[in-house]
Amino acid sequence: MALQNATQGAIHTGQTITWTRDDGTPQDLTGATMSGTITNVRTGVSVGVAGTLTATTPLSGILTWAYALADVAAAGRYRVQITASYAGALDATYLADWLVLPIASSATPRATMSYLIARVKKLIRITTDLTDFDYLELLDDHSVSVNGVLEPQRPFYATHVAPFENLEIGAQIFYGFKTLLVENTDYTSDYQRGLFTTPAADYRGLRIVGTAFDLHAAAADAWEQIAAGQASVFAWSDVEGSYHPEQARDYALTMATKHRRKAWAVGRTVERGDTPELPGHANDWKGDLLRRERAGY
Amino acid sequence: MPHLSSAQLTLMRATKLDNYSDTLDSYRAPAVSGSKRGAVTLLTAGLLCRRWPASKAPKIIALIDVGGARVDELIFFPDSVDVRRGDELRSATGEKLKIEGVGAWQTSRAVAASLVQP
Repeated sequence: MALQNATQGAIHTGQTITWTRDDGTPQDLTGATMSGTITNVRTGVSVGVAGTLTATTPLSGILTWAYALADVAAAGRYRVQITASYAGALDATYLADWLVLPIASSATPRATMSYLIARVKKLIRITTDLTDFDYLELLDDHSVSVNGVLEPQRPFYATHVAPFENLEIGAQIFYGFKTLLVENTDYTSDYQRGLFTTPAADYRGLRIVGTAFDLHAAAADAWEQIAAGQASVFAWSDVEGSYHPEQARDYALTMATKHRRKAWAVGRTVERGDTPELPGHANDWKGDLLRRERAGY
Repeated sequence: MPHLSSAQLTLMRATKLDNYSDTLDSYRAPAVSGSKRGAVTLLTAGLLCRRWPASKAPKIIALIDVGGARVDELIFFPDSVDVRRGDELRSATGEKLKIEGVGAWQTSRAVAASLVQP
């Protein structure tokens, strides 16, 4: 029993299986009720065949397997065993290798990023070269993990300013160790400006965990990609005139330079290899651990 | 540019295609039969081209006669177009132009044409 490969999520066409015994004769499936198991090779987890197994030519041992979505839901390597039950007496095949091949991953950008993607697109204006998903990838290349204290603003202490603007929607606001606030109940958000407003001055030491994005760095990358798409364009002149299609590429590179200058500065800490670390792990996670232990939580 | 790759020529043809803003139909006489030529018949309709009045033509080539005649117009076609000396070009407004000479430059084909019926 050899099985054809399947594609993840593709259930329209199942497969036809010929059940042959070791001596080469077909398994007579007349009057048999068939079931099957699918075993994931990596995890060892077995599940039943969810699709329908039908003996189409019982005397020749030919059956069809109409896939159910559960059969081909996840790509991976599996082993399949089919069991035929003849009024309670069982015959089973050997385990057969079966591959479910993956499909291309979804190119739908995260909904929480749509406003940031729209803002980068406004800086580019060329709508044909890059997709929303491309913009998402460029933004993700220039993300900064935000884990900081919200600063309450005087005089009413109801507006809290995050250390970064252009936050991905859904940043978590909490106080203490892990007490989460509920958006639109405990506070309202302005992710673009990094402002969080509480109804009253009830909170001290609110913290934020989220991700901020460097729009101009992403825009610079986008312009460079647009320029790269025109790498082979050149200028020439002939009897009719001179042609400068490379102007568009030069403009894209100019814009990339302009946006790169507006991008956030990237700092790098260089430590000498021949000097000892700071005493007490002051600035790393061990220091945090020590301070927490000292503080009693 | 002494040597151009096919990719470069493709780019030049594609870029120049945007410049061909005029259209002309080309007519060609049939083969000689019984020592006579018949009336011209439509060869290709809607050829993309660019028409230059002779004196305004780039680099004043048209004022020098192409193919032995001083001409009224210099018309540039893409080099894929089949135009020959003796063909007739007709415009949508009924103008008829006689091709007096054909020359090729890189990706374009220059045609010297005189207006035989305005």
